[in-house]
Amino acid sequence: MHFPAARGTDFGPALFPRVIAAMMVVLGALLLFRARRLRAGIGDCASEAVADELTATSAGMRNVAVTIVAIVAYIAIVDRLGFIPTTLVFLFALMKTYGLTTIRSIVFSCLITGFVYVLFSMLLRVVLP
Amino acid sequence: MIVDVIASIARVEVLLPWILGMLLGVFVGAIPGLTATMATAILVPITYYLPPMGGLAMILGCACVAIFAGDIPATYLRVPGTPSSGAAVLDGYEMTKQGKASRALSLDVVCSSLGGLVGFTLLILGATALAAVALKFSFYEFLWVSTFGLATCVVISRGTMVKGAIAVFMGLFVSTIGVDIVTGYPRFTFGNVHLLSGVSFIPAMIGLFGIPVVLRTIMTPRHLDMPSVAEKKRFSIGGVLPTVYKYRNLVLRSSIVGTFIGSLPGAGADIAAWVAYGMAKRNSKEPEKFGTGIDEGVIAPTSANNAGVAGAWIPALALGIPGDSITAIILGASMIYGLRPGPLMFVGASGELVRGLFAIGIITQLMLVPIGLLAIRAFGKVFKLPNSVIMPMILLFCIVGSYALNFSMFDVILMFLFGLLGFYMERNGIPLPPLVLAIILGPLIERNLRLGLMQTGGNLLPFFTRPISIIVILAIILFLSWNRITALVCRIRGTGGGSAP
Repeated sequence: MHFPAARGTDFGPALFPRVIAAMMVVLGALLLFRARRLRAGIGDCASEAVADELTATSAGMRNVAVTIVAIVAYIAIVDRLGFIPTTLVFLFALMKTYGLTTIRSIVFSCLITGFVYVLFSMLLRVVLP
Repeated sequence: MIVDVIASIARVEVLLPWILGMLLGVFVGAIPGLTATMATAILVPITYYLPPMGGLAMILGCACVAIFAGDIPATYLRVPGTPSSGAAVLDGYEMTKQGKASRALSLDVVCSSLGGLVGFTLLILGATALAAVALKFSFYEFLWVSTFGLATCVVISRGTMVKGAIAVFMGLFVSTIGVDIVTGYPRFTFGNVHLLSGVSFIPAMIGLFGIPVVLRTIMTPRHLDMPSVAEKKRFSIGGVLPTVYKYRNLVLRSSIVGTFIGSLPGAGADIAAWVAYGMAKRNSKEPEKFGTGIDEGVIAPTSANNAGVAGAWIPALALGIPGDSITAIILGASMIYGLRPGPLMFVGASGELVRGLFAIGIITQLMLVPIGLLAIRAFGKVFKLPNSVIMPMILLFCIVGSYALNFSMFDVILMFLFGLLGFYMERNGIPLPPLVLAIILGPLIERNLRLGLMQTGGNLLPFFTRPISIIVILAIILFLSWNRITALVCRIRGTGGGSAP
């Protein structure tokens, strides 16, 4: 990456990103060094406890995957389909995935969609897609 | 002057969002997983449609109440509602097991309110004094004070210091995206028009704090059951007042400590509560009773966490350096209003806003007692809504909130990318607050560094020779080596204590 220098000085736009890049290299090396020590069994056990707490179930991983796909899909189609239908489908799909019954999912997605629509579109005058 | 301040906040467009904010605070605080920080990030887009004072009242009301409401599930269920209630679990839940939940929560709400009052009083005195000093600052001092903010954040945040530092430099990098402030040259935009003005701060915040919360919750589908609380729910504020009076010194001490810790960048109400608990235990005549459900164990952390919320505003108002993630988001947002946080906030038109903030803070603490009692009552009903409903709702708010700012889908994509980044960082033990702080302080540090260098013609010496600079540099060095020093002290004490067990 090359940025032009500010006229008459050496402290142009490139100075700060260069400092950051240099520090990232140093810190990355430090982290690598630490990780090796950890694997050798000398490191602190605090980070292991954190990792232990975060181990996920297979149902949990499925939830995460569906959620990420749902958000991407929402961003992709909301412009074409409009706010209300997209949101209804989005909320219903997620609630079903998280284990709510069909009837409750329908009721809650309608309620929440209505609430958000009224709040943003009518009260706050946001032009929703 | 007080009359003017009251007149400026006693208006419908301030009072209504204020009360709504406080009610939302009950909801957010009482549900484990939802934090005051996340609520602030989601509320900010809504506040754009309110006058600045109304928006401030909404966020401040929400944050202050949420910190207390987090203690409710901590006391009943042993699950802290927000990270700040971690220390309140210890003795609060023990008291519940002994059938004294109402006593614990009554003590809690009174001490939270008192802690907040002390915190805001110290804020009014401290921020005004600090701002007077900060008016004398030049490039050099601002550079060092900002660096000090980042350094404390690295040291205090959870996780190792290397990971904290990595988060800081990631944030600094994000802050360099967009048109260079000094020369006007676009950096790291890859020809994308949306990135010319830099990464939009609010969508980034919503993503960082909202998305990981959702992903973390749905990953471990945990069921939250209300345990049958044997005791009849009877809350007598009058009954605990003598106890609070008896421990008035503890309340005061914990609140002052809480305010101080809250004012350090990167250390928020959560750390304030733990430190106050630890101090109360150390100063107690019978430390072995801590953790068995005693009054002091409830009083210390709950006074300190509410004081910490106020403390975070001291550097935010006086220096423009946020003391915690909540003030970080508000500072980032206020720059879009055209406000420049820092010593100049106290003069001119924005001075009214600062005084309004003080008044709102104080009154919110007084309102905390009735709202808190309401919250304790409403608690059972809040839990009727399962996480499978709340999580999709939060996702929707993240999406709509980041869209509403500029009516731009690009902001939504940005929000989502930062959400994934935040999730990835949390999973790997890289703390988020240093990243947020660095995004805000990055432009400040870069501009002051480069303008300073231009003025001196590349000479670095003036950065180190001014008296205030020297003090701040020493403080940075002290802070960064703090762990080493305490470890050394521990080792010396350990060897000394070994001979006399």
